[in-house]
Amino acid sequence: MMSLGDILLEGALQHGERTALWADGVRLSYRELVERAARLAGTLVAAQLAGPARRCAVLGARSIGAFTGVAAAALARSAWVPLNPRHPAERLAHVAHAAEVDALVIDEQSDALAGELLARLDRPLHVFLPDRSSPPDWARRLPQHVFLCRGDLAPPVLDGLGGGRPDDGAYLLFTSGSTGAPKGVLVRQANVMAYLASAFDRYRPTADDRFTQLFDLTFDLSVHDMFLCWKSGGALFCVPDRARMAPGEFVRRHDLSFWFSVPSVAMIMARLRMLQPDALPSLRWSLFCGEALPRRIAEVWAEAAPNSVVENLYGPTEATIAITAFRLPANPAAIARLPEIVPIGAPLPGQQARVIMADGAPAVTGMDGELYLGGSQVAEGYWRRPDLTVERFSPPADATEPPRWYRTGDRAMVSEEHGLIFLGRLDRQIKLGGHRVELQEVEVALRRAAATDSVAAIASPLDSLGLPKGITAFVTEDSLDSEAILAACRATLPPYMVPFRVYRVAEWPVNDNGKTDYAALRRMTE
Amino acid sequence: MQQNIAALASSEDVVLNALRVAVMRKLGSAGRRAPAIEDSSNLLEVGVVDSQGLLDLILEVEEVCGLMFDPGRINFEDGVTLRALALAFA
Repeated sequence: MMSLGDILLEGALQHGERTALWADGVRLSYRELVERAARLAGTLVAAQLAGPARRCAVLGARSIGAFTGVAAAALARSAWVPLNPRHPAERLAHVAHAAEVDALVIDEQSDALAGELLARLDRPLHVFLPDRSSPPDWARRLPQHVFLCRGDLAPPVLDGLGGGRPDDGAYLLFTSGSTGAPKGVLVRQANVMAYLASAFDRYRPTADDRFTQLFDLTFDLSVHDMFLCWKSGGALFCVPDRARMAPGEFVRRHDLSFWFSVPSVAMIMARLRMLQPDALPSLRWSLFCGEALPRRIAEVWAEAAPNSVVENLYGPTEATIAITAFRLPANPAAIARLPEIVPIGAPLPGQQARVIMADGAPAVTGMDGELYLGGSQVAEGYWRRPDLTVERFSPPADATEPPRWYRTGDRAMVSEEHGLIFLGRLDRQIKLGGHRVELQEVEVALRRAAATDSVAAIASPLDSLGLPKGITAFVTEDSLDSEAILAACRATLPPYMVPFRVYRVAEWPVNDNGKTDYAALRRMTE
Repeated sequence: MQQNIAALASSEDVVLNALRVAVMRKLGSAGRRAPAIEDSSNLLEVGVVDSQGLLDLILEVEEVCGLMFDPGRINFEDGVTLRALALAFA
C-alpha cells in the first residue's frame, strides 16, 4: 500500500518542476516542496524522532512552512498534529500535551505564539524553525527544548523516507469535546488511503488541475486538498486569508478547476451577490462538506459554476474526511426539486452507512434514526480515551461486517430517491462554519469564567433554515461582568467557540427535573 | 458635477457613519470594549469581526441606508476596512 509519504516522493519523481503549492505569492515545485520536507524529515530521523510511534506537531496557518511540516511528518512516517495559530496558547498546549508530541515545526508567522505555547510544555521537544537562521530570543528562557534552525537541518536525502505500514498514524486531529477538553482522533494511513483511492477514482484529477485550499490544517478536509492534489500532480492554491470570505476573484485569476469548501463560504458569496451566472467558469468540480448545504445555495452555485459537477460530501473526522457523497443533478429543475437541505447521498465504495432507530432496529425508508458509519475509513477510536471509544465506536446490534463502526450522533433518514438525508443532531453538538462545537465544552469554559454553575450556551442566532450562525451564552445576574467572562473565554476557546453575546438572567429557568430549561432561554433571545 | 461629487461624498459619509455605529454595537453586544478602529483598520485582521459578522454588518447597513453593496467595488485581498466598505455601497 502506498502511504502519504510515498505520494510526495512519487510527486517529486513524476512532476519535479511542476507547481505543487502556491501560498502567499510564493510558488513551490514538487521538487522544492519535497526537498524542504526531506530536510526536516531527515533531521527527525537523525534525532530518532521519526517513525510511527512519534508525533510531530505543526504550528502554522496554511503557509509554506506549515505545509512543509505536514509533508515532513508524512515522509518521516510520523503522524502530524496540526496546531492552529488562531487558537489560544492554553488550548494549543493542552493538545500538544495530550498528543504526546515529540517535535514541533513552526512557520514564520507563528513565532510569538510558539513562545507562549512552549513555555507551557514541560515535555522536551525538538523545535524546528526552518525559516529562521537563529532561534528567537524567547528560546533562551526555555532550556528544556532543543531549537533547530535552517542551518541545523539535514541535507535533503530521500533515501529511507516514505513507506510505512497501513496501521501507521497519518495525522492526529483534536475536535471539540463535551467534557470540556478537546478529544483526539488518530487517523491511520489505511484510513486516509482508502478515502483518497475513492476520491481519485471519483474525480479523476490530472496534473493540469488547480485546487483551492481554503481549510485550516486543523480541519481534516485540508488532507483532501493536499493529497488528492499531490497524488494527481496538480497545483494547490492557498486562498489568502483576506480573500477567504469571498474567493471568487482568486478562483478566476488563477483559473482554478477544483473547488472544496464549507457551504458557509458559498453562502457568504451568494449573499454578497458574487455568484452571478457563469461567475466561476473554470471550475470542473465543486465540492462542499463540513456542514449542511442549503439547496438554494447549491442552485445559485450550480449557475455560477456551470461547467462543474457539484457534490455534497459528508463525514466526521472519525470516518476520515468524507464517507458519503451526493452528486447534484445537472438539470437546474431537478436541483430545485431536492429537499431544502441537500441530501448526503450514499457511502463511498467499500464503506457502509446504516440508520438505526431508537429501538435498535434498522430504519426503513422514510423513518429516521441515528447514522452509523462502517468500513475501512473508520478510525479505531479516540486517542487515549478507551471509555469514549467503547461508547462511540460501537456497531449496530445486527452488524457482523465490517469490523469497525462509528455512531455519529447525527440524525438521518433513508430516502429511496436521494439516499441519506441529514436531519440534525441527537445531542448538543453544533456546526459553525464547518467547525464542530460541543456546547457543553463552551459551558465548561463559561462556568470557569463566570465562577458560577448556572451557565448555558445555545446555538443562536439561527438563519432562515434554522442553521446556527453563532453561540449565545447565559449566566446568572450575579456573575462576573460579561466583558470579563468573554475575555476569559477568548483565552481558552478557539474564536468560533466564543459566544458573541451574553445574556444575564435574573431567574434561572429550570424544567420539571430541575435541569436548565434551554427552550426558555432561547425564548429570551427572540 | 460639483453637486454630484458633494452628494457622493455625503452619501459615503452616511454609510461610513452607519458602518461605525454597527461595528460599535456589534462589539458592545459581544461584551467587548471597542478598540481604536480607524477607518483604514483591516476589520478581519484586527479581529473586530469574522466573515459572518462582516456579512451581517453589510446587510445591516444596506437596510439602514437603503443602498446596495456592490462587491465588484472592493478587492477583499487588499483588506476590508470601513473606508473600503463605504466606497462599495452604491
